[in-house]
Amino acid sequence: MPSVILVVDDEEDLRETIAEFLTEQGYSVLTACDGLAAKKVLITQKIDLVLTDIRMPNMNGVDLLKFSRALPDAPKVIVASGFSDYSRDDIERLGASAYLTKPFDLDKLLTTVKGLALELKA
Amino acid sequence: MIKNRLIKGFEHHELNRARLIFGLAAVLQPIWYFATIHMLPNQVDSLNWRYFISLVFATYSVFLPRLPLKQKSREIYLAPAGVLITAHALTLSWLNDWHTHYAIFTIAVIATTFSLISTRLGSWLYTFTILATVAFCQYHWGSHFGLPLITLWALTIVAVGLLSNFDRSRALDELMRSELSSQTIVQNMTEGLIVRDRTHATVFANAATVNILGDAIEEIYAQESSIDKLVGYAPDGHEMSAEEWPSKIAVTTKRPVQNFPMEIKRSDGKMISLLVTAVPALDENTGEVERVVITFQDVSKIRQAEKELADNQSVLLHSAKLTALSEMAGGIAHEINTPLTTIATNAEIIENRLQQTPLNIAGIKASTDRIRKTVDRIAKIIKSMRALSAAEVDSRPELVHISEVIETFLDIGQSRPAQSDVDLKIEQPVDFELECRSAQISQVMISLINNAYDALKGLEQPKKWIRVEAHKYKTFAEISVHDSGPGIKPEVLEKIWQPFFTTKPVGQGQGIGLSISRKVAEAHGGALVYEPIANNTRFVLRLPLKQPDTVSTDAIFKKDVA
Repeated sequence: MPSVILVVDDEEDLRETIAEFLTEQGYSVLTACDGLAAKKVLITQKIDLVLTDIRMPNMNGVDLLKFSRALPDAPKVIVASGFSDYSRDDIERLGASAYLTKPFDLDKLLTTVKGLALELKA
Repeated sequence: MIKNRLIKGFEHHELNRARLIFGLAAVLQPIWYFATIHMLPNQVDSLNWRYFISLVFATYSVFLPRLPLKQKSREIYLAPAGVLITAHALTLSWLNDWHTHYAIFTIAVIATTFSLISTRLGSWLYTFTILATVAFCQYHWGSHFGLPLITLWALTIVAVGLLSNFDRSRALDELMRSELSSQTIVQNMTEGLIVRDRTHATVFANAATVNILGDAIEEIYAQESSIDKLVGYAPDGHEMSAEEWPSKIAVTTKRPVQNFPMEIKRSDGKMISLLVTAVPALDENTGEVERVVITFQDVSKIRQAEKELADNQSVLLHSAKLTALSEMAGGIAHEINTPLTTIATNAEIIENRLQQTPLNIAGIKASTDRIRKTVDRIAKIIKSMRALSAAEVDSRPELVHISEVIETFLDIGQSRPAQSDVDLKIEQPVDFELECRSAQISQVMISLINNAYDALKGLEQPKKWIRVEAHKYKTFAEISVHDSGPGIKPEVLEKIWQPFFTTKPVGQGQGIGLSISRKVAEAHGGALVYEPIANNTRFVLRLPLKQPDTVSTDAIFKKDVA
């Protein structure tokens, strides 16, 4: 049972690029265009990792992080942002496993994801 | 006004009083005559007459100076006739009884002199003299001196009448000075009050004049008044010639000059700003200017404050711009970093795919498409940023489509951390052209939308929304920002347009948004107003579709709205 990663970003092209890439790497990937959509997914499905942007309409990444960490079977969260009012420390204190600064490259993303020791497809 | 009161004063009080005393003396005369003729030798009788009548009038003259000033002024009118009385007394002494009349003559000389120096003492002595002389005329009635004396007396009265007419103006001036000087209101008012006659001699100046102009009252009243030595500057900064001063204009045109703003260089070199009003007082009969009443206010402090405010305003505008920019900077960084990530990741994907065999052409194409699309997006963001950073105060208004304005402020304004539960809607039924400094208008809109977001933050509401609407009317455009918030409390409403007022937590707002936004609207000849609908907060920005050549007041525009 591969780990399920939820990619949340309001930038469609980036979201799709990352989703494609992670799928190729052997993960099971879901996407959401903003915090609210992600929240709905999180309620209905078990997610192992959330990769989220911060600045998004309809519930930002920080609120999503708080929501995710409060879930009974809390997924790990990687926060990726180009700029925000929150520092890396703030984000990590809120329970994020990692913080990526945009622009990041796929290698960096992959290393981070791998570091979280998720299950891959058989 | 004062003059009218004065004349009435004579007619009703002074003359009646005089008539009463003269009448009394006339009645007493035969009584006294009958009483003394049987009891005393003739010589003593005549002497008594003299003393008695002199006493009656002397008593009157003692009481007269204690009467209110305006009634006493009659004696001031009479003063110049003292010379004639002197001649009168000389004639008497030449004709008769030299020693007695010598005393009268001396008194007359002294009285005349004093009347020229001190009104009060002069009028006292003068009254005594003239009335005593009348007594002598009465005494000599029927004697061989009678006719010349009566003639002299009549001449005196005529001369006094003529002279008093000639000198009426001067006398009124004197009166006005003493009258006004004694008035508490005039002396305590903060406005300067100067009365000058038609020759520009200073008749009166109040205490505030001394304070404002910084000259001693003696210098102001001096023949060459210190007022005439002041240097005045018109609002455009040029040094005013004597003819340009409001008081001169009022005299020349016979019309009042009101609230003329001018700068004055005081004799101590200090510059002060005044608002000067000069009202000419015309003679009722001739219609000529008799005097001019000048009131002036020292508005230096107000002008200074206005200047500072104007300076601050430009600083504030700059600061508002910086605030808006720093608020945007985050958004911009994010807006650009995110698509850059798209480019970077897709570049990586292309590299990876190039190593695969066979080549995944479709995959590579998909990534290059994304890169191209993303580059376009970045270019658009940068264009919006440039539009905003060009928000110079004096930039030229340009014809823009309202859709472009809205797009600009949405591109950048919306990139703040959006609130999950706020629904932002744009309603723009028709696109239209508007002449404005679009970057400034976008800033106003960002400020309004940010305010709306901040107001909705923390509100317990099932549905929160912000609605931005743009409508075109005949001559103006209306852009409104309407939110689901409960409106602004009246006590807060009073202050929202003040610079630095904010209801936001410390550190979150500078409180300059609305005041600057209103300035921007006004600079466009428009208005920014608070017009709640159904208790929901709503700000409306109204802008004329065309910008006037010069920045004018919003009068025309407001009429249009009404």
